[in-house]
Amino acid sequence: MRGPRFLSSLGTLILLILLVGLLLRRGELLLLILPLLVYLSAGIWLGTSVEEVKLTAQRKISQRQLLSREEAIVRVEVLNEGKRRLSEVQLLDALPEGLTVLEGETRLVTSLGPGEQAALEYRVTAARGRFELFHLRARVGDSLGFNLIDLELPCPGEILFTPRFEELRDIAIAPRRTKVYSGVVKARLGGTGVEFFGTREYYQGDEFRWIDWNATARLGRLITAEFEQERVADVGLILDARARADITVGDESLFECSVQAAASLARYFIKGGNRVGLLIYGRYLDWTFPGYGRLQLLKLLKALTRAEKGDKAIFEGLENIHRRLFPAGSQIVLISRLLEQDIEVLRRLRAMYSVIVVSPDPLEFELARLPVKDETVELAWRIGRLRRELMLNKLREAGVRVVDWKASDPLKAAAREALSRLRR
Amino acid sequence: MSVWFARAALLASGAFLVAAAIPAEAGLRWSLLGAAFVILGLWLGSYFTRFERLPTVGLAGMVALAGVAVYFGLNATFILIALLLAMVGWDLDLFARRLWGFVRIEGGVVSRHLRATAIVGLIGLGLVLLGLHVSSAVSFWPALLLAAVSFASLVALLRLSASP
Repeated sequence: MRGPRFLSSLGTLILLILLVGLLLRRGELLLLILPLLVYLSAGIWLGTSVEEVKLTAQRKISQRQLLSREEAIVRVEVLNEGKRRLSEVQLLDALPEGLTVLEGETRLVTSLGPGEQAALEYRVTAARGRFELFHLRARVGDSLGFNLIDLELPCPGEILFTPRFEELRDIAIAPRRTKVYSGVVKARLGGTGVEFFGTREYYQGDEFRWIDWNATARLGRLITAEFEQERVADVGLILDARARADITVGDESLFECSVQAAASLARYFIKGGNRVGLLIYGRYLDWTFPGYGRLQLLKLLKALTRAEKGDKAIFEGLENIHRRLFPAGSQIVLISRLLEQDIEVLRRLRAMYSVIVVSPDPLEFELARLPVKDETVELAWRIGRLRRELMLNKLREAGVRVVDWKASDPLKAAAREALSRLRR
Repeated sequence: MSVWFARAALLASGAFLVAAAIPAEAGLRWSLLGAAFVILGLWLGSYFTRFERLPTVGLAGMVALAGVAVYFGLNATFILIALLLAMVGWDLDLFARRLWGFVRIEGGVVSRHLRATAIVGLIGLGLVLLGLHVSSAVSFWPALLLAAVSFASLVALLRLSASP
């Protein structure tokens, strides 16, 4: 609450006039007090006390979880529950940074009688993030605005702008171990499935239709065909959030592309019935424990929504990815532009897990945003390109599957090209 | 709208001060007019700034000017009316500054404030004229007694307003 601010100004002026009048012993000087005194008295008489102000606010948000750049309608209703008219009510809904108002007003001045209500309504959008709205600021004054009372009306709300994702298809992963439940990941085990896996001796109880008649005729004994079992697997997504691995041009950032790629991959693997965990590596180790299903997808999207870059010295390299964080033999998918020093770490990681690297191309990203493209730029790009190819080839040689992704193109095309066929 | 009313009130205040200063000696007259010109000029020019204290500083300046004018025996009626108009201008100025940045102004806030200011201004005018009438018949010591009573009332009002 702010006290009667003008009271002190007017009171001081009145006292000064009184003092000067007394010192100079001039009665007519005291008359100058009159206009000030009238205003002061009116202000006090009309003034509103804190106890008389009973305002409540209620916030309604059209949709609490949206995709990046979608729009939400926020409506805040303020009700005067007091018995007195509030002649001047200033309302301000201070929005957190990152939330953009597309239409409507977040500020309003109005007058509220007993039982009357006012509403603020606006449309907002944001690129990505979790935005918490706590309270509405209100400033209440009387007719003369003499006594202004500042209030914070609680009306909590939350809007989540999750990263956009692509519909990915045909990504074949080959983890060293799979879970017992059936899924879409090739388990390297014979049994029931779709793709031919091999043949074996007939055992009593094998289905008649699975007998391989050609092999049986050739070998002179009953042979059963086997198919590769398809099961679910553990998938660990690692999002590289190191600030030094990012490139920002204007308000566009390669990190945002990585976040979108991570969201698309998370959705794809969850839809395949896999158990998916997520590690955001950069600011700190933001770990989302592996899980299945729609609820897990929501958890992963929430984690990606709050993902921020970090420049902690301890996370400069990828050495601090805890080896036992993901179940042994699971599929690791690292989303990173990659730095030279990361190669060795990935080689070591490959010893324990199957590793896929989805690497948004920093050269293409930067080149597309350069204002001038002359011969020097082209030469620099070619050198950069060669170095990157060399780095990616080192990874491929180490058995890491690499998706070299131009962030301006859809991820699904690059992923399909690099990951649709399984090389064992 | 309140900005225009504030400007009008301030200009009218200046006009009454000029009217009071015209019969004065040249030195006093030009000093008063010069000071009024500077104070009101700065005040009116301050609409381009967001310095919240400027209207209050302007009002204090006008009070000081009115004090000097009264001290030198100029027309008290004109001076008091000028001070009352400066007071109204000060109030409307602060009101206009409070509304800066608001696109939506609803519920008759402006008209309600203008009405309240007009009523207070008229009451003030009545009291000023009454005060002038009484003061012409009252010498210093009764006037001092009146001021003391006013002061006591003011203190009582302040305490009343501060109590929960």
